[in-house]
Amino acid sequence: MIMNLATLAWRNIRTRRARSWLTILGMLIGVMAIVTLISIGTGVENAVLQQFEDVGLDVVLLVPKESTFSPSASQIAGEDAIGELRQITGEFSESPESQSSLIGLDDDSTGSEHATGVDLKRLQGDVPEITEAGQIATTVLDLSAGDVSGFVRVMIPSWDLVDRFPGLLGGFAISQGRGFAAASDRGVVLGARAASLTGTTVGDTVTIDGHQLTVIGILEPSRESQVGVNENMVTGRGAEAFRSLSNTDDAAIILQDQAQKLWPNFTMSSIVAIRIRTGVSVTDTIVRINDAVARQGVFMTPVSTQALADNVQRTLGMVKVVLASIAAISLLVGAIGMMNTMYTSVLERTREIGILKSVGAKDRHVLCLFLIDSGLMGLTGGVLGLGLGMGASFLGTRLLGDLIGVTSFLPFFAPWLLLGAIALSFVLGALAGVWPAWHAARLDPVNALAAD
Amino acid sequence: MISLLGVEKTYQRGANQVHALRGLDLEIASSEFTIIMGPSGSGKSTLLHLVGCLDTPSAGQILFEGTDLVQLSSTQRAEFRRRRIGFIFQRFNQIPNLSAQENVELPLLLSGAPRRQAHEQARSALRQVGLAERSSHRPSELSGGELQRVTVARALVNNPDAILADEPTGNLDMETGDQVISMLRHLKDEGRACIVVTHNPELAIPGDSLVYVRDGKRVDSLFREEKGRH
Repeated sequence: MIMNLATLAWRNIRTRRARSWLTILGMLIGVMAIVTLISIGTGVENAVLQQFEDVGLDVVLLVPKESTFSPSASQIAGEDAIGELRQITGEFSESPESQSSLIGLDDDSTGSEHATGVDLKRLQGDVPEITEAGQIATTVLDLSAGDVSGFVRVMIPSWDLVDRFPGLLGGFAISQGRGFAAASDRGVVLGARAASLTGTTVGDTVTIDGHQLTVIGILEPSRESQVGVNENMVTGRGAEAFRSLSNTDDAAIILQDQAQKLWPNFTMSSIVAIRIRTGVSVTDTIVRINDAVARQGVFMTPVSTQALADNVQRTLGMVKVVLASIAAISLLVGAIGMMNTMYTSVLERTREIGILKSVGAKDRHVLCLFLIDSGLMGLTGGVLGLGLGMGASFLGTRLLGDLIGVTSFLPFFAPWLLLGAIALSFVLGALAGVWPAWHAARLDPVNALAAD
Repeated sequence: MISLLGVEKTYQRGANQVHALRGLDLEIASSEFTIIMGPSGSGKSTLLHLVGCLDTPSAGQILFEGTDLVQLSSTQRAEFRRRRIGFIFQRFNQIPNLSAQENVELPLLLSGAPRRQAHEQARSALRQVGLAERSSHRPSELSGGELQRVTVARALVNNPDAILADEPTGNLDMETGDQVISMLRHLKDEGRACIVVTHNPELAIPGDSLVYVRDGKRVDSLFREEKGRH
């Protein structure tokens, strides 16, 4: 019986094409908006969280309390400073001082004198939950390679950091040459963009702050440059440090042992990466680390990647809720439009309802007929909206990536989203038809037949 | 056998009550061709609606082959209409967006018949009224006579016990009207009760049962005698 009523409803939709399509359009736009916004939002969330997972959710960063790691540090060091390397003339567009102060890692940085003093062995002794630790410092120094010169962000990790925390360095995947093999390894590894802009390859010599270094390897583009933790998503010292470290594309990386020999009197603000034992409470361990660091008289603060990830997830979750709410409003408007159409349809089809009743349609048949009618229109809008929404999501990730803070990722279509969008469109469509259908079902057949 | 005993029907029109039927008694035998005549507003269409279970009386009893129609619920009345009654209206009452075939299929689809079976039965009914070749046409593409034949096909498709026709020739020319009436008489011959409401006394022929209604009451059934006097 339901199939027969569905047949009758479909015949009606089919024969009132213009009105049906306009009604469907309202639902289509609503579903499309929901699918697009949620799938893009979830895609961004997944991509960003994956980055944290790559680093490890059991990692705690010790960052200088007064660190002036700027959210735009990587952009400044990368796009402007390195961009200057394009200048073959060798002339600087800005003074070294201005570059350093922008990044905030020069010797005069407020927190620098405190940040360098962490005794990692003592820290590990004080907090046995720490399984491994590494250290990294960052600064900006002048670089020249052939005719090209300018400034480069120099990352100086300890061997432990490179070996144990490669995720923190954007994966530290080598595309040419080799990576570091031991703490005493010499030479420099260049980020993909730095190598490209300076035109250097493996085996070339570059001069950094007057010291000649051999390029032993060139990195793959780091994950951070593809899916970054944008400053709009999360703020705070830990996030800034995370952003600054995980983008290695514009960096020159030199191991700590070699750097200490090259610049014995150079004091740099550093960050400590700590991995804690599986199963222990991150929150409790952070408290203990904080106490231990304070006892050493070092002015640093611990931030867990888990906390950063939670922060990002919370922020993105809120954004998703807001976007989904806006989309839901458009869906609601579509449903109200459908209700309006269905009610108008009942008024227009009063005589038809009388005819149906005269040939034996029960009240519930008429009710079902109109519910199926509106449900089918909702479903059609839902299916089309889902398809278009998926298309728009892929398009949106390409066109809007920069705008929302990420440049390359895929939208994520959760099964619940796909099934939910279709089910919701049918249910919402049917609900929009409830009142008109109830009105139709209750029509007196004699009066309905007398209608014009 | 259809029996109406003291049937009354009162409509509320705003503050006023309109008495459409006032204690009407009537008996209609199966296989009888009954013509109900009367002036406009006399209550003849109301009578047809009550017998066809489209409406319920305010008082009285209507028995259809022993079934008291007054006692039926709304759902049972719909079921009764679908299985035992075929309606033919002056305005044809076809659903404009459906083809002739689809219009005729309606009662079957509402009975829950499989679509293929409904399709075949509807086609057969259309063939019976000589419209098989017009089955895919919409009402707007059919003439008045063809529309009324589609209505007859729809009324027949569920093989009902009674055909109730309300001014079936009212919108037709004389020749087409005669064709339709002839079709209805043929149905009577198949053992169905045919009740036709009309203004046209020319439709009656000897052997028909004539019911004259005025002011909601059956006045007499002397049409044949009056006709005989002329």
